[in-house]
Order: sequence, then C-alpha cells, then structure tokens
Amino acid sequence: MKFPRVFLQLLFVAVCLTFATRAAVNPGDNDWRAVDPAELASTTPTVEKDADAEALFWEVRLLDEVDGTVPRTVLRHYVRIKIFTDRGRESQSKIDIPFFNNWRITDIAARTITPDNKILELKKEDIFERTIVKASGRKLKAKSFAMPGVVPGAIIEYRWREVRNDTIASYIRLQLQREVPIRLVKYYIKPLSLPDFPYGMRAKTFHGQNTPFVKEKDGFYSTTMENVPAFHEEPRMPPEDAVRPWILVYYSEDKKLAPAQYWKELGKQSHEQFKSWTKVNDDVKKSASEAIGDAASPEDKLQRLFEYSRAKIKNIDDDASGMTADERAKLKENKSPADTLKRGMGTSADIDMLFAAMAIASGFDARMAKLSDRSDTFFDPDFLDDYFLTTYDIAVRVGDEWRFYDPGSTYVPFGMLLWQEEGVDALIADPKEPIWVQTPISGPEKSLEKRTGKFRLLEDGTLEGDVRIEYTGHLAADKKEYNDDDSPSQREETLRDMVKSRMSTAELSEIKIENITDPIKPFVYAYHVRVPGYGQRTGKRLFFQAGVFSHSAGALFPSATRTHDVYFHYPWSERDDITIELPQGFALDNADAPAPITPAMTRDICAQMIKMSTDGHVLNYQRDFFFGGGKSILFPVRGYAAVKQLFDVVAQGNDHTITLKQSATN
Amino acid sequence: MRLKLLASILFVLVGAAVANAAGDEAPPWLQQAAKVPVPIYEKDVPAVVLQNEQHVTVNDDGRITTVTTYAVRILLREGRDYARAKEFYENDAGKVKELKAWLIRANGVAKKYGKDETIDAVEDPNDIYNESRFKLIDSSDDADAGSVFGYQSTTEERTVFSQDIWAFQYMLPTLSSRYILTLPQGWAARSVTFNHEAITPAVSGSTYAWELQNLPPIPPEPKSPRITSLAPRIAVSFYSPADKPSSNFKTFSNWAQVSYWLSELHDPQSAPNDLLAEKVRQLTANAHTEIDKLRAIASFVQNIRYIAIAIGVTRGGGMRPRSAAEVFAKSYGDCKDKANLMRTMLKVLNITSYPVGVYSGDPDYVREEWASPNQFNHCIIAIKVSDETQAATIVTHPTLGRLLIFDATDDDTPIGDLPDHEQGSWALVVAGESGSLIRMPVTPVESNLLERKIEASLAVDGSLSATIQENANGQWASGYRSEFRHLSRPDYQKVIEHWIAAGATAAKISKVEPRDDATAGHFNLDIDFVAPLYGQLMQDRLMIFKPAIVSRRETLSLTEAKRKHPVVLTSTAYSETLHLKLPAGFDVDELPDAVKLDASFGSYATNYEVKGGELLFTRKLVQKAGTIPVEQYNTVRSFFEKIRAAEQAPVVLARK
Repeated sequence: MKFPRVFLQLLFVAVCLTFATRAAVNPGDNDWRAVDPAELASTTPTVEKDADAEALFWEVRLLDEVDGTVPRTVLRHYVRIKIFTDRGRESQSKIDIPFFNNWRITDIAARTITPDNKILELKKEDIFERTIVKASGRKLKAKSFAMPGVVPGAIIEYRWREVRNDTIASYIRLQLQREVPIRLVKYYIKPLSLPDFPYGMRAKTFHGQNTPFVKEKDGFYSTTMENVPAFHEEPRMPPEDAVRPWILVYYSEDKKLAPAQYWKELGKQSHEQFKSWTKVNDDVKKSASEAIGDAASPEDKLQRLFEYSRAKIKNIDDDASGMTADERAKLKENKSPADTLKRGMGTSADIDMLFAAMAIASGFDARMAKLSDRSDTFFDPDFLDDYFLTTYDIAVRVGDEWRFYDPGSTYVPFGMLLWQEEGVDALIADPKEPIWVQTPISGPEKSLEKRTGKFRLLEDGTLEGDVRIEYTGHLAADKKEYNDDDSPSQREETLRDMVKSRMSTAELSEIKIENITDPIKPFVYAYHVRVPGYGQRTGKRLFFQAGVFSHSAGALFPSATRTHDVYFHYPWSERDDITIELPQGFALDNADAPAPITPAMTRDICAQMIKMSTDGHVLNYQRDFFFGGGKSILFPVRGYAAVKQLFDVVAQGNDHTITLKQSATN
Repeated sequence: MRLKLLASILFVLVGAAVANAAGDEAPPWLQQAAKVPVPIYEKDVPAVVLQNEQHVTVNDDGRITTVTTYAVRILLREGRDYARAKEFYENDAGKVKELKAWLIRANGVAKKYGKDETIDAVEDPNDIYNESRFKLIDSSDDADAGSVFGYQSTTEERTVFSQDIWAFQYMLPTLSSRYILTLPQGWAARSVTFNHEAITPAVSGSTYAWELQNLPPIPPEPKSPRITSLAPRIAVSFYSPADKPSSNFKTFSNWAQVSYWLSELHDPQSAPNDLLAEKVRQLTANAHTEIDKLRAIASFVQNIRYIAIAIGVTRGGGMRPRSAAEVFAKSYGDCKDKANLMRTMLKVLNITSYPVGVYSGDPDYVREEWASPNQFNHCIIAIKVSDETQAATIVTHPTLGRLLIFDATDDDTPIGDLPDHEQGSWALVVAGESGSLIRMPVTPVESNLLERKIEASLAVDGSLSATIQENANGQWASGYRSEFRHLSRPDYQKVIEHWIAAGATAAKISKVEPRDDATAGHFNLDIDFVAPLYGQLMQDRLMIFKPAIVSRRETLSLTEAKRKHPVVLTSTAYSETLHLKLPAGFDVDELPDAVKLDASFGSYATNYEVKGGELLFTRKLVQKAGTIPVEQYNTVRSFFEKIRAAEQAPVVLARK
C-alpha cells in the first residue's frame, strides 16, 4: 500500500530531481574561471574512454536563508563541459532551465570556448523565457538558450542563479552522477541557521564516496566526488537510486539517539497513530464475528477477515472501481473503521485499517508495520530517519511469528504482499518495544505461469490448437493491474501482441480472458491459435519447436558486459504442458530433450526440466522452470557472466528443435 | 525531454486539483448531439465524433474569428483520451477568447469545465522559443465508456494568409463534420477537396458551408498511407473583390505567386559576410569538382545544430529564415535557416541554388491543385548543377535546368540521396516568378542496397564462428548512420549484441567495427562473433542449423488477415552471401528448397550450394517503391510470409 503524496511534495521532488541533473556555481563571484589550455587541447575524455562529452566540473552552491520573513533556497550553478564528438555537441548545446511561479532565475551567463581559443559569449537577446504550462494559478516556465558555435573540441560553460521562495532544502536528492561523466562534482551547502530554529541540516550519501564536508568561507560546507562515470540504464537493474550516487539533504532535530533508540521512538509514535486509526466499536466486532464464522484456526480466521474486508468494501483507489476523479473527490473521508464499514467504500488505507481493527476485535495482536518500497531504493536501517519508510502493511502475530497482510492492495493474494514490499525490513509498531522483522519473499511456486496447449501440426508446418494460460501470485497481480483498466478489445489486442511478438503469423480466435478483476482467482487467457509456417518443411523432414510457449523468446541478457547488479522483482515459475498431434505420414526423426538445468547446478536458484515422450502420433512436452529459489533475486555484477550464461542455456533449451521425417509410404 | 516530463507532471496535478462541479447543465446543442443514434462499429473503435463544426468569420481588417463546436461519444474505456478540448493559437497574433467544455456521463449527469480547468501550454517544449501554444481542457479522467464530451471554443487571430485547411475527420468515425466560412460582403471562396470526391459548398450570401456525414473510422495499419492522405479534407482560399483588393491578406492563384512571395522572405536573408565567405573558401580549398564543393558545404551545414526559434508565424515568420550570417555565427538553426545558410555559402562559389518547400512525413500530402505555402512543413534546397555532376537526386526543372535536391537538416543523408519520406512528393522550388512545383526524385532500388558477406565455420560440437561484413548504401546507410551517430558507443554495442543474439543465442562478439563514409553514402560494419551450440546435434547423428544466421533487423508487420488501406513500400534492396565451412565428419543430408518469388513490387530469391565442404547460401530481396492497392494485399502478405518462412528453413547435416 502506498501513502498518497501531496501535491507540493511531488512537485518539489520532481523539480529537485530535475535540477539535480543540472548544474552548478562559481563560488562567490560572477567571473569565469580560467580555462586550462591543456583541457582545451585535449581530444580524449579521461573518465570514460568513449564519452561524447565530459563535465570538467559541475558545481552547485546551495544556500538556505530567510529574506525578511520568507524562507528561501538560493542555488548558484556553474557547469563546464568539454565536447568531444558531434553526439556530445548535440546533447549538450541546448540548455533549458525550468522554474515555477515563485522562483526566480537570474544571472544567466554562458560561453563557448572554441578549440582555437575564441570565446563566444551568449548574448542576452538569445535567452528566451517561455511559459511551458500554466493552469489554476500555477506556472511552469523555462529559460532556454542554445550555446553559440559549439563544435567537437570546444568547451562550453554556463551558470545561473536560482531562488526558490517559501521553501528550504529539506529532503532533496542531490545527484552526484549525471548523464555525462564528470571529473569533479562539487556541492557547497550553507544551512539555515536561526537562533530558535531547532533543526540542523544533515546530509547522507548513498552508493558513493564523496569527501567529508569541509568548512569553506561565508558559512558554506563543501563536498566533492571525482571521476564519476555517466549513468547508463540497463535492463533488470536495481532501482536507479539504489545504484546512482547521491546525497540526501534534510533538516532534523539532533536528538542524539542511538539507532535502536531512534527506531523505538518512531515505532511508539506509529503505534499511537495506528491505535487511533483502528478503533474498535460494536459494528466492527459484529462484522469481525460475521466474517470469521466457523473458522477455527488463526490462519483461517485471518483469511476470512482479509477476504471480508476486501469483498465488503469497495476500494476507491482501484482503477477497476469504475469511479471517476470527480466521484472520488466527492467522497467523505472515513475517520474510523466503523465509517468504512458503514459507507461500504474506502481507500486502500481504510481497508487495511478495517482489517487490522477486525483482527484486533477478534483477539489478534495486529500492528502497523512501517516499511520501505524496494522499487525506489533499498532500505538501510543505519540511516536514522523515516524518509524511506514510505509504506506500510498490517502485521499480525500468529504463534511466534509475525505475518504480514495487505488487503488494501486489490490483487495481492492472501499470504503475499506487493512485490515491492516483500523481502524488506519492517518496523513493527509497539507501545513499548518496536522491533524490526523482515517481510518474507514469496517463493517461485507462488507466482506461476501455467500454460497448457493441445495442438495439431499439419504437413505444411501449420500449428493449430487450443491454449490456456493461468497466472498466479505476482504474475497475476501484474497482469490484472495492466488489464483491469482496459476495454475487452484492448485486452485482446494486448494478448495478440504478446503472442505475435514471438510468432508473427499467429492468428488468434475464440479469445477468453478470465478473472481480470478477481482478487483471488488466477488471471486466465484461453484462445484458439493457428500459426502458419510454424514448422519448417524441407524435402523429407519437418522441423518445429515443441516449446510452443517459450521458444524464440530470446536470451534475457544478450550484452557481454554489465555495469550494474542484476535484479529481478520477484521469484517466479513456469509450467508447460503441451501435446502436439503429429501430421500423418511423418515419424519422429528425433525427440531427444535438451539437457536439464537442475537445482543442484544453480544452488537451488533456478531449474529447467524439459521432458518429451511420444506414442508415435502425439508428442507430449512438459517443461518445468523456476527462478529465484532461496529468495535469490539480486545478483552482484561480478556474477553477471554466470547469470547471463544460465539464461543463455535456458533460451537454447527453449529453442530446441524436433525433427519429423516423412515415412517411406508417404 | 525533461521539460516534457515536468510539464506532464503539472498536467496531472492540475487535473487532480480540478474542482468538482457535477450537476451542471450541458448546452442544448450538446444534449441534442448526445441523442444522435450511433451505428455499430467494429469492437475496437474507441469513440465516435458526433459533431465537428468550425465556423470561420473573416473580417476585412485581417481578423479571423473561429468558433468550434465538437462532440464525441466515448465507446470504449481507451476512448477516454478523446474527451479533450484543445485549441491552438499563436501567442503574438492570436488568442483563445473562450473555451468551455461539458461531459455528459452515461447516467445523464453533466459536468461543466471552464477557465479554472484550462491548461495553457507551449506546443513544443523542446524549441528554444515558439509562439505556438494551445489551451486544453482534459476531461479524460472523468470520462468513461458511454460518456459524451463536448466543447465550444472561440479563437481570434490575425494572419496574412487568406487560406485555410479543414480535415473532416482523423482516425475516429465522424457522424457530422462541417466547415462554415463567412466572408465580408462581396468576397468569394474557392475550395479543393482531397482524399474524397469534390465537396460542393452550400452558399448563402457570403457564407459557405462544406459538410460530410457518416464517415467511417480510419484504423491504423502498418505500412499504410499516412492519415493525411486518407482522411477527407478541403483547402479553402478566399478573395476580396477585384475592385476592392484587401491589403491585409495575401492571396495566391498559382504556384509562381507562392514562389515569388517566399522568395521575398528568403532572398534578403542570404547575404554572405566576410567571415562566412572565408569559411567557404577554407572548406572548398581542396575541392576540385563541382560535387566535391557541394559535399564540403553540405557536410558543414549538416553539422550545424538543429534548433528552432519560431516567431511571427502567422505573418509568415515561420517561413522566413534568419540571416545566414547570424546562423553561421551561432552555429544553430532550423530547416529553413540551414537551407538558407547553404544557399548563401554556395552563392560565394557562384553556384545558384533555391529553397524548396516540401512536406516532411507524407510524400502524398502536397497537392498540385492548391497553390499555398501552407502545404509545406519543411525546407530543403535545390542546387543548380552542371552536366559534370551526376547523382540520383537530380531533377530537371523546365526553366531552371538540372537541380540537385538536398535536405541539409537530415544529417544522416548525404548529398546525392534524399530521405525516403520526401522522395516522390510534390515540392516547390522557390525561385521568384520562375519557381514551380516539381516532383522530388525517387532514388532507384540499386542505390538503396545492403550487401552482407558472412564467412563462417561450424564446428563438430555445433559452435559457430562468423565474420560479418556489411556494406550499406543509400537509405540503408542513413539508417545505420543515424543509429551509430545518435547512440553512445556502449549503447551502439548493445544494439549490435541484441541483433546478433536474436539469430544466434549466446553469441559472444569479439569485434564491432563501424566505418562511416558519409561523403560517399556508405556505411560499413564488420562483426566477428562465436555462438556455442548454434547447430543442434541430434542423437549425435544429425546436426541442424539455419543458414540465415542474422535477421534483417526488421519485423514482419503485414500479418493481419484483413486490411482496409493500400500498402506503401519504400525502395530498398538486400543481398547476402554466406560461405559456411561445414564441420568435419558431416555431410549435407538435406537442404531447403531454393525460393524464387517475383511480384510487381519486388523479388526475392534464395539459393543453396554445397562444394568442397562448404555451404554457399545466398538470399536477395529487391523491393520497389510504390503503393499497392488493398485488393492486392494478400499477394503482398504472402510474399513477405514466404520470405519469413524461407529464412527459418534449416539445413540438415548427417554424420558420414
């Protein structure tokens, strides 16, 4: 479940991210710094050998201050970039500085130093101010300019001053890595300092090693990082902010608490909030009793409560609720679980709190578990701030264990959480002793793609038959989330595209898509398919791949090199049961199966077993695959070669070809 | 990109912040439109336009007022995106005076949208400056299947153009579409109809009305003509009385007039200065032939960065280049700036050239029968060349002689070639009163040839080692060059790895060596790789493998059983020769049958030959540019399906 974010937070984060990818300042004055002739003459980058451009330095001077009674953040940016190639010229020579209503952008200056040391200054009339969007009193504007006379070999530099009124720099992410490599990135920071202001500015670096902050003149502190390569995105990598180096700047009171004490305090506060959100009255008790009915075991009781809270309360946060933005806005806020019951509708949070309240009413020890979202970054409990604990689930003690539940997320099955919330540290609130517990990761068997096909292969290579594919667990949740907002024809189109991406000639008919918005049942595709040219015919043989559902999917990791760790969202498994009626007049020339990948070969992380058998007329193909055993979903980059090789072998097994030979009588 | 992202965030946030105002009443015209019965369409049609009307009132002082009335019924949930009102205007010469919208939900409850829900945004956030903006009311979050959305807008602008274009529909089916033009007393209008039989206006006094009803949907299809060549539209020109000519509007009766007017905008901007002239002399110091000089200048201008600054569009500013001296000094400009700079540089060499107006993106967009500068969205150049210069992109103009056509904005297509989306289109050579509309050249198939040679060896364990040499020409080379130039080196390497791995799983690439010769129009690429288990061993007796080792980097798109529109093919050719050394101890047991396909639009052939322990495999495709009528769709589809099948066919080896 996600906490809703308010407008200003989102806007602020968006803008911070944007500017964090921009640039920096000349510390203190408005003069250009001298250009080193060696840098102007250089023809090769130093940080990354194939770079098209390289920032020689990238500086930001950040100052929080009060102007009269208005707090504001003032940033001075100063960037110097060496251009090496035409690509570098293309990507770096147009500058946009976006800003909002109550910000001011001043002191823009820019110049190009050509390879023959001519200086081309940006003229004032070549700076354009535009209103990008305006609405309801809000404006996004931009000052834009093109750097004059940029050619490979040139150095460009630009700087500007930015004043953000009515805010201070708290909880902003300062990027140390950009889209180009940087020789030196430097931040100067001057915190707000007022006599009665109890908060101190703090900075925490993630995924990088910048220098310790040192005191500079005029109350600034500076930190640097050198030779930072450009950021390159890769498929199946951890979230960006879990790999890029960056600094979180924020204000907080220094309570001088040890980590254990800090989290204890937070856990206590959370519990107080939780208590106020889960008040039990007679209606809640009555509903809990009705829901539990004759269930006897704790697990059964909780499952009944889970299903009841989902079935009886319409989730207004759900795409498939059919509610418009207007209708949502009109709804009154539920102030208690009793309100939620009474109105029969509520937010995801309302549903979770109702579940918790009913569990408490039924004698369970239910708590709020605050946790992080691993689609954003990976949580580090040594960082003493709740900034990353953006979400929560309901923890219920069953025996000696804490179990976690999230009925507010419509498609999450009982016993599972959103994948973003599985395998993360959860702070279980308590009036006295909050504790950290790791949420479980659902095993591969919980997220199964089960594919069944009954086909006939014709003499000309056409494959025809009926297919049923069932998805459970996280796979089902992903499918439901993707499809629930689409019309029936769009859902069919999505299926067609999926099948045709591997078999371009496939013709689908009799399509049925089941349980799209059902929170419990598997998501199901059923269809009839005809694939002309599936098998390849030669003079006396017919070749085809028995792995109808898995062949031609391609290797997952075709690249030889890798920068980032490999990260899968969750473990999953696949089971294929296929029968193929062979064409008359043909007999198997071979039906040997590809070599298995056994759990023992992969330390129980992955396996693929393909079995084939035949009675001469029908080929039976069965494939069992899983990945992510032992909760292994994150692999360090040093192990990339092994991961790549594993998936190469999986792909080769899936593309395994069967040969039929024309019998002599045909 | 960043700006677009931020702008979209603001859009979303504003949408979320919209005040609730249910219980409003929709205007009678919308209530009426909502009652119109809708035919049954195919199940994937997302929405139907119930009413689309534009009433344009022309004042003789140059002011034009446009009232738009629009209603759409949402049929599917995906159709919610059509519940939007969007009106464009030019910041310096126009405004949206009023924009109001309503949504009638399936249950009949109406909601009104006004100023508070209106977003005002720049049309292209990526331009340094652009006066084109739009106002938008977005009701898509509130709408759903069964809703009817409608809006009414009033815009006002001043323009020098006495011409207008009206598209009766886009992709959606449209029940009623009407364009009304009210002129000052005594004025007259003439129209030309495109993509439909001639539409005659109903005339009442000085008001003209063109109308079409019950227009079917135009579904998107791969390799289809552009929507601009399918949807019916009219082009309208209006004229003041001969005895009372209006000084506020520019009228055009023929292409020579358009050419003359555009020349007046372009010519004053092409005066060379000393610095520019010196640069020309430097660039051409070692150029001895005419084509060498052209190449030197072309290459320089192509390297000028494309950056657009659009000011004074409605006064023709969108068609006037900035001065060549300014563009040269700043090293950036848009298409007309680049064409004008090149023209000015050629002037220094005493080479005559002309700007050329063209429509980029749809070769069939510009029509000869309507003389108007508003048919063009792009500017290229025509260079007068002597007989000494030979190139596939030379056309002969009836009065201006041999003209070499070149697009200086496309930095991947060198002189002597032309982007395929401009080939064959009508374009205006802007040469004062001598200018006229001419057909752009179509490069011959052989100049767009991709040749691939593969030397490979298959080992007894099925592993393959291969060396690929590609020599791309024409538009093949432009595509490869674009990929190479616009991707970083690591990203380019990944593209090549993906491509090779798509044909040879687990391939390990040891060499990727691109060599670009843009001047000659070639792009060469050498690749070495090994692929373990490429050949599949069966019972240690047979080995099978596909001789078509790598794909042609394009997917099969003509797979649907039915089609509504013609198929548009571009001019292209492909040829591959594979020499594959067979593994020791194996003989060929079976080869696929050779394939030979011949059709009016192209040919394809494969051949297999075994000699001296080596397999020689060839495949060759020739595809001619053209538009194939929809009646012949099955022939085209079958042609490409047979190619796909031929390229999947395996070779069978057996142990000796």
